[in-house]
Amino acid sequence: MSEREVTLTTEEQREDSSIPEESESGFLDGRSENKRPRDYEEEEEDGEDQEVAAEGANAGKSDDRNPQEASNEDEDGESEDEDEESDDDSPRKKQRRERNRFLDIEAEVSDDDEEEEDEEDSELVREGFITHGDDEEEEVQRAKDDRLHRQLDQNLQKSSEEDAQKLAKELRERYGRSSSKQYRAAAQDGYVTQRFMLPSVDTATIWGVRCRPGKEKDLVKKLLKKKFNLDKSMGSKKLKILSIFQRDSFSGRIYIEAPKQSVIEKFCNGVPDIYVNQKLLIPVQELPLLLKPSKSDDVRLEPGSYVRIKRGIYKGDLAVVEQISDNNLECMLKVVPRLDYGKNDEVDPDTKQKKAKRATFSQRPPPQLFNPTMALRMDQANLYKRDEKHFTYRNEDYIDGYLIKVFKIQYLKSKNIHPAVEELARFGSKDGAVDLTTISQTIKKAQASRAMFQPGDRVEILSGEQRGSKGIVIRTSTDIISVKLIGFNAKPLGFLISSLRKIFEPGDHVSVMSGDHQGDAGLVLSVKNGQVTFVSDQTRENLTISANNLTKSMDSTPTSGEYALHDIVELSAKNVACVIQAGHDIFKVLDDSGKVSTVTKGSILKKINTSRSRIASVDGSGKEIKIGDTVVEKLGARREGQVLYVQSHQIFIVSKKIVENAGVFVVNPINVEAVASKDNLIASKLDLSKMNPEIAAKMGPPSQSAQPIRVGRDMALNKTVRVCSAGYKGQLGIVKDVNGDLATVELHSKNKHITVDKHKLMYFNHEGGDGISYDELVSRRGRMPHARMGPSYVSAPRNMATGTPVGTVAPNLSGNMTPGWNSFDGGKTPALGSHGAGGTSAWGGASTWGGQGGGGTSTWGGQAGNASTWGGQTGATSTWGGASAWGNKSNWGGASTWTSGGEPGATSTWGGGDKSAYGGASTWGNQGGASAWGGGNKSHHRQDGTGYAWGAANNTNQGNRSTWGDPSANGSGSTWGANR
Amino acid sequence: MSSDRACMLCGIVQSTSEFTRDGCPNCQGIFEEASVSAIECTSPSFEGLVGMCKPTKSWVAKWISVDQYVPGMYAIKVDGRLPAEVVDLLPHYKPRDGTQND
Repeated sequence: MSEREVTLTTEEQREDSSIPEESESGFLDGRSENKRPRDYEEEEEDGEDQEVAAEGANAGKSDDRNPQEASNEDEDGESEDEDEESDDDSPRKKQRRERNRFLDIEAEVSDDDEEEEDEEDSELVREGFITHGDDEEEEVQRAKDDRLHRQLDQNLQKSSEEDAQKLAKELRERYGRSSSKQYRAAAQDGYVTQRFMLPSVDTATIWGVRCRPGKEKDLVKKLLKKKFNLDKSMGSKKLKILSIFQRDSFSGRIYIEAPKQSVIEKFCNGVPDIYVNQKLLIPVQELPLLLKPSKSDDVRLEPGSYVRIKRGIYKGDLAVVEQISDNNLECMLKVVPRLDYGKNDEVDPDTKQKKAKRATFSQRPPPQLFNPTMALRMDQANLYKRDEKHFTYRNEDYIDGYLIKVFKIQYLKSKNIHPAVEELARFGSKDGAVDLTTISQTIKKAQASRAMFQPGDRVEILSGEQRGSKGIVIRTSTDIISVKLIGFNAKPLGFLISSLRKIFEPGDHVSVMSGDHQGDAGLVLSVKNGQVTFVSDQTRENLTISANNLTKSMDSTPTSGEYALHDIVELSAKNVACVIQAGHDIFKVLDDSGKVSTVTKGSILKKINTSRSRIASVDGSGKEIKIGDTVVEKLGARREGQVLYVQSHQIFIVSKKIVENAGVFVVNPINVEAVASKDNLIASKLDLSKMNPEIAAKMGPPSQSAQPIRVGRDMALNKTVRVCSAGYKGQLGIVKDVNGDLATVELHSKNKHITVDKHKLMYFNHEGGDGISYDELVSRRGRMPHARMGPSYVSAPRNMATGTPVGTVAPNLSGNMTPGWNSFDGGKTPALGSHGAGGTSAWGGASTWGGQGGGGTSTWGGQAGNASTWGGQTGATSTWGGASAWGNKSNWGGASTWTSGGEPGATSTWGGGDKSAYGGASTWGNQGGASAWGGGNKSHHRQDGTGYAWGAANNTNQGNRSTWGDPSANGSGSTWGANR
Repeated sequence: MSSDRACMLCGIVQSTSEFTRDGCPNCQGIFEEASVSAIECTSPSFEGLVGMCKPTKSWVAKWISVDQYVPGMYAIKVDGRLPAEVVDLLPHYKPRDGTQND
């Protein structure tokens, strides 16, 4: 400003001196004309001053002089100037009036204080005027002067304003906050309705920046500090960050007011937890909402509303607001007290004085109304009776049994309070009735926005003219619901949510929309006062829920998304269970001890992903059991099912045939038998023709049919093999691993593992002997031929392999075979004959047997004496049960299978019908049973518990065993000999 | 954080000790005039933290009417009510607890 003025003043001077004034206009004209004589006087004075004044205008103004004064003076000066004029001009008032009416009024009012004026006047101002006065003759200049004056005035005003601000600032700095007037001035003039401050694109640029949720407040503080530090260090080059803020309702974001995006990046650089790349400009129209002081979901506390306490021993407890303090920061609450009346107080051993133990949340007494008698008995010293209902106990007031206590509002929760009915019951009036109106009021208030009415809901109107009438919801919005009243053809009417209540009838199926029981569903039993009682599908308990929290549901099985039926879950680190009934919150589980229990969702640690689990166990016969395998119990009910989960000592099995416990049962793996492995079931194709005994019989030995179902480890494992394929042909080794068709063989010759097709190996007994192919190996169930043994022996195991040990008439196992046996029935001999050559001779003993085939019976009958023996046993064992005993023969027919096995020698063995052969029994002895045969040799017979041979380790065979084991059997042995 | 309080008049957020020691940097004069302690006029319950860097230029400052005050931390919403003595002094006082909307 000062420079401009300087130029102005100098200009004026120049003009003054050179150009004569001509124009006649402006308010000063009159003065200049009329006042002339007096002005001359002044002029002389001021003439000297002029230069000084100019200087003053340049430099002195802002610094030396008090600007406020200056401005005052300016004004005064002006008016005084004019006053003065008017005074002087009073004789010629009329003239001047014509020219400038405007000034007259003032002129009249004012009086003379010339003298003062001179002193007080701002020099500059005066100078301006005076210059004017000087050059009054020149009209042209007058016009210019006039303009200049106005300009000058404006400038002055401006400068004075600025000066005033500067001064104010100085003052503020000097005196700080102590000037209350300032605030008041600000508060008073500064009070502008927010409507006038609505943001525009130019005034407000606010960016929302993503940050780590929960860190917003820290970040605001940190950034503000950073900004202040930067300001200090950067001096004049400050980052243009105007403000940083955060709202609790928008977590994960902070907002930065800054005109430029790049500044934010620079500013936030290096601050952790803030993601500068994710920022967006907040639309201007959303800003007022963002900075609204009240959150929409806030509930205003008023006496009577329900709150929950956030801290202390009453944490989570429901309370009723009794009173609110004046400053709105504290509430007097009515709480159901939790008192132990000093039961847990510690007694000081020295002084015998009781020391009240501070109750903690974890060990708090249950809520109960204050009991004066208890207090009197237990802790009289701390009890004061105020009146009938009012006690002071331990410095706290109890009225009507409730604790009346002041809490700070920050320790109270006022949002989303869902008072449970039992909680409310404690606050009920004295006769125990629940104060439903208060409940519904609070609940409605808290949930008005949440209570969901859906089109189609049946509702009842609770208040207003339509009170009591019923209708159907047509349309919903946030707070008004349009309802079509039943029985009126009128248009749907709008109702407030708070004035509606849903109607349910007994028999409706409902589910709970919110609160503790959310997701629960059940059949409505009764409806009373807006409280619906229904029996939960899950817990089979009756639940009472307020109607607006319910919704009609079609789905009768509410399930939790987390755990489903047959899921394996972990209840504790060592306790695993299987879900056998899944609800929303409550689950029925079968644990590993076979116990059924009901657990809540919370007590389930996690679900076990069984598909990832690689745990395997072994069954009674050492076969591997994996998850998904089919197993059957060896004892008892012989339940069959799929393995759900394997634990070290227990396996969970699910059977589709069992209803109880959703088909799940737990057994020890020792007691089951693996029937089929999951992998093999999928992999192997079942050849029905091979399984069909009729066809099998025609085709010859059903050897192949038994093979495909392979359980557990591969046969080839750990076998001694000779490689038959190129490369390592002829080398010996041991199979270390089998993967599909490939076997990893550890060579004996070199320390090397090679991978070969397992079919291209010859398998050997580790003691040597003849090699067999893989197929053969499998068909023998992995048993290797004994080196010194006739292959005949092999056949026995095959019978075993079929699952029907020799001599067994185990109905369920041999069931399949029975027809087969029939086909062989009696036909045995020919069958035998058809096979191995020597076979005939063997069985020739056989002839006896053959006798069975035909009238062979007679043969046996012929052995009547023995027969009786057998018969006797038959009765005893039932296994042998006469013909059925010969059913065993059918096994022998199976024997023929053996022979068919392509090992003719077998026959020879039998041919050995010769006792020694039987004793050769050693053959049979391989089966352990051998000795049985050896039993031909009495002494051997006895020793060996021949049974084994025959028993083939199968329980059902035991009968046989006994037979043979029986000394009398020995007699039969002789019979056999006789046969021969 | 828990020891922080917000002035119910201007909304500035400071720790309790700062308030007790120095009072409110903006409104201490008024409090003195009303002869109330600064603590009485502050509230521990507030929401919406604003770091105000340039109150004179910021629109946010204008909107939450802190543009006349010192830079610092302010709260958007301050629960609680000023003592009557203070309110009597201020005919245009607008509470910051969100009860008044225009």
